[in-house]
Amino acid sequence: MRAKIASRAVPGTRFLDPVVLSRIGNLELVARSVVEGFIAGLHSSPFLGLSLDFAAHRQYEPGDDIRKVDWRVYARTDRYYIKEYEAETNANVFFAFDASRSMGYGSSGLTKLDYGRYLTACLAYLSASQRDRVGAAVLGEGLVDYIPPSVRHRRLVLSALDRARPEEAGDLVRPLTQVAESLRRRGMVIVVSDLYAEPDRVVRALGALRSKGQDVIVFHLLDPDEVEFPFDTPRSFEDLETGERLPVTPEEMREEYLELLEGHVGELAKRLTERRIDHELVVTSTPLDAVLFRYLVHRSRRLKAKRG
Amino acid sequence: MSFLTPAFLAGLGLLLVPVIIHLTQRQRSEVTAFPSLMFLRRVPFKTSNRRRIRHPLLFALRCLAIVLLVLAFTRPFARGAETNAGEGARDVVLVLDTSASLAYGDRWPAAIAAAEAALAGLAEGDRAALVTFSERAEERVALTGDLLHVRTALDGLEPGALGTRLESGIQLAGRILSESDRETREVVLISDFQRSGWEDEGRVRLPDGVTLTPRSLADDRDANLAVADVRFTSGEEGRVRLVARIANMGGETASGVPVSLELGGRTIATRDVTVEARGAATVAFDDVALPEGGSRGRLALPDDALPVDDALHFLATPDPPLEVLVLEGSRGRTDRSLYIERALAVGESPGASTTLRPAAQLDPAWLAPAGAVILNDADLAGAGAAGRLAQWVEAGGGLLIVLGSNADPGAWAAAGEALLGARVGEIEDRTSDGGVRLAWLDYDHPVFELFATPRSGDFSEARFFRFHGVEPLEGTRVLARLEGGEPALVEHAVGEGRVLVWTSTLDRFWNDLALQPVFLPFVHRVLRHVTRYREPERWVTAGGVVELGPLVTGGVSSTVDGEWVLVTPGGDRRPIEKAAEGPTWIPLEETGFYQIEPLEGGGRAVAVAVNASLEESDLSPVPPERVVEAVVGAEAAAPETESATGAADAVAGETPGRRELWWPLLLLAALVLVAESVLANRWTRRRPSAGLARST
Repeated sequence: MRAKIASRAVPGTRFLDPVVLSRIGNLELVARSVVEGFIAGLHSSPFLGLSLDFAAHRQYEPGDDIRKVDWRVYARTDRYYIKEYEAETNANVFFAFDASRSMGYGSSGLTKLDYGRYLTACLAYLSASQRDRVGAAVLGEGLVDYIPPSVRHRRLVLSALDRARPEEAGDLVRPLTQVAESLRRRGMVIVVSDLYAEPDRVVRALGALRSKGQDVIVFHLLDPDEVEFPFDTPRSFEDLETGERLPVTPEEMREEYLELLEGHVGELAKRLTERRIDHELVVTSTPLDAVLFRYLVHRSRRLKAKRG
Repeated sequence: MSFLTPAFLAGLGLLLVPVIIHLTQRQRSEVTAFPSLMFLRRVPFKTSNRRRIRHPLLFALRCLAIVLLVLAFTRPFARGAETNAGEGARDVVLVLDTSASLAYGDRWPAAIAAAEAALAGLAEGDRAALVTFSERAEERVALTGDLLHVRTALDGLEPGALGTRLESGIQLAGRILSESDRETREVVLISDFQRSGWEDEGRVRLPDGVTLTPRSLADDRDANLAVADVRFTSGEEGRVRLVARIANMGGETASGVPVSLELGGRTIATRDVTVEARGAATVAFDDVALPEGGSRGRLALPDDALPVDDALHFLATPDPPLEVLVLEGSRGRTDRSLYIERALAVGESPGASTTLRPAAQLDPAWLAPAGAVILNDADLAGAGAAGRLAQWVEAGGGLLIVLGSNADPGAWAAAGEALLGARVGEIEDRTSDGGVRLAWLDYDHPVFELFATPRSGDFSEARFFRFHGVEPLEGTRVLARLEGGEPALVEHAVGEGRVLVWTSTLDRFWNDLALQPVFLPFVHRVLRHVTRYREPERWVTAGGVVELGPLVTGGVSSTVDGEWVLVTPGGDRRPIEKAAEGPTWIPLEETGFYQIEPLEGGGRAVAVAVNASLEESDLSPVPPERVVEAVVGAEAAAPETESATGAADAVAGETPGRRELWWPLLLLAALVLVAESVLANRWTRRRPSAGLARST
């Protein structure tokens, strides 16, 4: 199984405790703190691939956008040169943010929804600072909120994330299908969800995006309680999605539960990978910049693949 | 092995606790919100697991710990073989309760049977003594090897009418055994262990090594009705109203209980009464005509399991009113005694009959029937009047002198200073100051003790505008002072009588005390004190004593001439042995009417009614274990076997050959609990999670 938890230490990065970030309150400030601190820490890192990094000049050819002409070079050389950057520019980055009731669970004062909110905000901030077009959809039973991609929609995206509440039952298929239909331009779709659905439905929902040519990354959020199941005493568990209660003897069921969860995550990872969808399992105790690092690794890999 | 407190064996029921916790705790579990049950739902749910004990060894250890703890609390005690061999040399004191409550139901036969059984348990060479106790203990048979003698003494016993004092019997038994040199000494206490008969103050201790074996005769039955009290209220035309109080000591309501009033042996009336469980009710007999000179009265209930408290004997004598002679001055107002008269007209204990007379014409014949004299703002006409009053007071009369405008300091100085006990000064006028108030009262004095507690009467509200300055002579006690320190009330004794002097008036002209709520009780208290009034004693509690002198002389003298005979309620006549010095006391131990009459005529016979103590009617017992622990000490107490009624046995101190087992049991329980903790920690420690968690 490919159950990767994005919590490994990364040289040159600083790790911000999500619970500490949650005390800041201002989502943009959180995103800015994380992203700028994160970028500052990447100076010695081999992952310099941001879109504003200059790559090379080439001579102007008819048909090129004259806005890309480097006028300073022209002033010196009296020739037209086009400025090229390392990464693609003005890409669509769309965030599909799961705000189902199960995302409202949190064992240490920070719910998965909060964590996902910070993570998405950071990614949106990072993308916007690369002049990518950012948009977002908040998913419930349907589309709870929808912000179309635009270079000026960073604040709207953050605002939509801020408004998201875990108040509806989750159903990935329908809203993701709607998202797939709404995105006309190819780009990257980042799905943030706890993926509590049968693997078939998850793959079908994400497959709809993939089939539209979107590059899809899934951040699969799980709380530490979900991956450790630390409960001892007998109790009834109440399903946050349905309200159903189940009397459980945790000590006796822990092993089976963990095996089932592991199987579920493993199958998701396997089937999504088969469809070239990146699956990142994130436990909400993981520092945010560590996850950002994973994201950059992913982007870097994709860019290289495209160039190659 | 036996147990000191076998009742703790009921604690074995605690064995159910782990099981109940196991079964219920899991079912009554807390609710925890969880993101999704999709995986939990798939885990095969084994219902049997909830009832299956997963760690039988842990469960067994817990149960074992409970068993050991319970056994330790029962105070097990092992008697060694060595002691059994030495049992032949025992000294046993049978302490038998003969209080009134032993007559309840079949307790007395049970008590005798218990004593017989204890005697039967003695071996050859053992000695036994017999002590009976009620309020006092008595050694009936000294330590003897002749057990037949003890059995014979038992045959002649029966419960009396006295109360219970367990300490008295235990103390006497301890004293007897303290003189014994036998190794094994034992007290067998046979009693119904009435709670009212035990004062748990740790005053009584048995000598070290003495065993106390309680034999409790108490059982669950407590139904018992008793006539608790009767009160007299004066009615019209010399008739009285009798109010009887019936107490129900049992746990069930008694309905329609007939209460009969008998006077002179004849039933006068019968009333039905309903008494709540563990409560009391009153029943009234109105317009009862008491015969001249009084009669013997009896309030009776139908016989129940304890007959001794089903009848209350009393002397039905009318309470004669107190004759109060008010001597007034001849000058000034004519209504100066109005407030005194009105105050004395109220109240029944004592009821007062007031007669107004002019002080100047004091006739010795007026003084003869008077119980008290109030000299109200009167001038002393001459030394003769003062002398006559002084003689009357010296003989035991009570005099209240109220100084007013008619009181002439010169006349008092000349003729009545000795009677007054003070030197009378001029009138002090404080009208311009708005009056002065009472600043100090002697609350320890009987006149004012009623007002000692807060909100029991406020004398400070009264303002005094005028009063006589008074200088107390030696032997005179000041009972109240005004704000300037001037005496307001003084007292001194003259012969056998008392004189109280009030330095202002007892109306509303020199002060407004008469308008205050405290005026009425104040006048009554002064009158009761000055006349040494005591409510008539209509009966005596069994076990009490009466003084012969005041009884046969009508309270006049404590000395008595001639020979007197006591006739008991049972009809026995026995001469009263008079004490060589001091008063002669007559103990009264039977219920009913005693009669004291002169041996050879010439005097009047008097009757005394005697009733059992009401405490004997309350049958609720004290746990015998408490008595045992108090007498032999909790640390020293150790268990012993054989307890026919479930009572516990104990021994004082360590007896050779006997071994206490509670502490090894406690030690073992502690070890078991430690083992349980270790195993529980090891087995129930959370196992490291596999897969995803491990990778984090």
